[in-house]
Amino acid sequence: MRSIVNILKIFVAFCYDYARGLSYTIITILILGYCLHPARFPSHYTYIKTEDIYDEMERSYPARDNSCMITINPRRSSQLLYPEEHPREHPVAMARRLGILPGGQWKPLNCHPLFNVAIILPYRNRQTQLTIFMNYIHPFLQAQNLDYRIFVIEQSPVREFNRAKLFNVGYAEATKMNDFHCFIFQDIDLIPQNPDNIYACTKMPRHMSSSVNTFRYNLPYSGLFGGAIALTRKQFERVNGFSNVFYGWGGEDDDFYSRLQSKGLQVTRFGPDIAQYYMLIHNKEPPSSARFENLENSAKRYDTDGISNLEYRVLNHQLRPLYSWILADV
Amino acid sequence: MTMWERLRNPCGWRAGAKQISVDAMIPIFAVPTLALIAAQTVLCTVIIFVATPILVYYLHHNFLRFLLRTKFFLMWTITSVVMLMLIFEVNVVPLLEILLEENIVFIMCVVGGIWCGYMTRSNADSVTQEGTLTQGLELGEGSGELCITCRRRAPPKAHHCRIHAFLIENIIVNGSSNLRWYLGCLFFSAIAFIYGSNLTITSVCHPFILIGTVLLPDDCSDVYHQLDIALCFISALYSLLVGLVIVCYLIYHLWLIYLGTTSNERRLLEAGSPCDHGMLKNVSRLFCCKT
Repeated sequence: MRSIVNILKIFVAFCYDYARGLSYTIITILILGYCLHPARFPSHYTYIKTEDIYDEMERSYPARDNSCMITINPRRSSQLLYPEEHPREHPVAMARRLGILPGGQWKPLNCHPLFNVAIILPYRNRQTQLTIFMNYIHPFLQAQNLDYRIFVIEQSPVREFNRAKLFNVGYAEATKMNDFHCFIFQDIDLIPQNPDNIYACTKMPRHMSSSVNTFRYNLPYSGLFGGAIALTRKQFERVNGFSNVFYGWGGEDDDFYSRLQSKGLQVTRFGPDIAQYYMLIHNKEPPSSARFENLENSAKRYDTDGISNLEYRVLNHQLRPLYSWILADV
Repeated sequence: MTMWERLRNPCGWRAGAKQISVDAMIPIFAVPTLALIAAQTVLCTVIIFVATPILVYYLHHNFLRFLLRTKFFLMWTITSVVMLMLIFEVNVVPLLEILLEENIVFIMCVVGGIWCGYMTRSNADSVTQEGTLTQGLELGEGSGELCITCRRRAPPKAHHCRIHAFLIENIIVNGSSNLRWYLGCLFFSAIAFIYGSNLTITSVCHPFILIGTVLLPDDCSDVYHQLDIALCFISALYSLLVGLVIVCYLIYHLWLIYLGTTSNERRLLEAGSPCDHGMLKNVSRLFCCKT
């Protein structure tokens, strides 16, 4: 008994003598462990290598002798493009200069395009951004020799903004007009900076905006699927489109990601040296409070909520010089 | 030593509790309060950033300089560094915009700076305490004079270095290892402050890439909408300013070494320094050998 007490005493004395050093060490390790914990940082994601991009693209038309070339030149990634903040050219003049058909349609005339793309942009009350975007995107897309058409889906001013449902409306309206093979769903404030970022579909759904300047050109988390995405019509129909219930900011992209996961569709991305985006400056919106609730029971609604139960009214539509405009009540 | 005393001053674990003086306590409350006020609006930020140096100078001129070896500036430094680190690790990193590698580089610079600063201080203390002995060995001349600024016995060719903003209040002995630590501290802390500032400001602002390599902010108009983002922005501004001041000091000291003198000597006698061995020799003397 006594010896045990003695040993205890020695132990306590030892601890007391070294308590300071010991506690400092433990605290240092804990602090460093917290500060450098990998979960607190954006992830380095896996991406399609630059040389494999051409093979990974899902062509809309079979390749022919006079098919258009797509050139991917990784050397030029250091020269990022920036949009003109105050475009002066009138849309009509621009459409005439670039040979754009009414409704924002264009296809290359001197070669057969490989890709047939509908670009869907949800919109409300961002006139200056729309002008900047249109002024920038047409030359960008023409340089890639795409057969494309741009749709701007504007939501009527009654309810909260529903980005996901506007995408579904865009899909439905575009399909009525033409048999588009590939859909690109994109926010209007995102400007692709690299000409190598091909605006067409890959064999798997692609998250295009993986390297946005407001995230310091990093991908915050690997489950992010917002901003700009590219899917073929088949892929979009297989997951039943977007959910219709996400009114307000946030949540719909995470929901769409889990839809893709549930159907076994793996998300691909281009590398950070290709997929750079520039976000136009605007005020941030407060996130919607219902988004977590909607996300929680999203799995039950995969088959019932989407393009299968899409209901909307087209209030107005116009073929404007640089895009097809559709005003919808959702 | 009672438990209460220990709690009151945890640093006195071995040495026994010491009463922390009031002037050393001021920065612990003042720095976070000022940061919070500055984070309200743009106007607040401007006012705080202009008024604080004036206020501190006023405080120093009227009160602090009459105190013997005040810890005010040291505590200001420690509080600022702790606050900046806290804001960076707790506020900026969870925005998920800074890579692990960038954080490791940043933390290494911070630790390097703190370590060098600590070594400078402890070297200065040992030099002053062992006073005459060290001088006799190193410089081979008479006893040290009383430093006017801090009233410590300082060896000749030492000078008192008062850097008001970030304040390694210290005694620098030219030619001894102390100056090397001091310059190391300046170097690492300059990198840490400026790099950390850049990381923070590009996280909270709207950045662009300059010539394919460096991220720089071009629009910070919406940082004041949220208090935590505003705090990040304020801390970035603060550390950028401090970093720039440190860079100036670093250049100034390197230039003095290049000339072979210390700033006190330069102040006291404009003529050539007695310890001038030629520019190259001065520099090599610092970094290569002690004698």
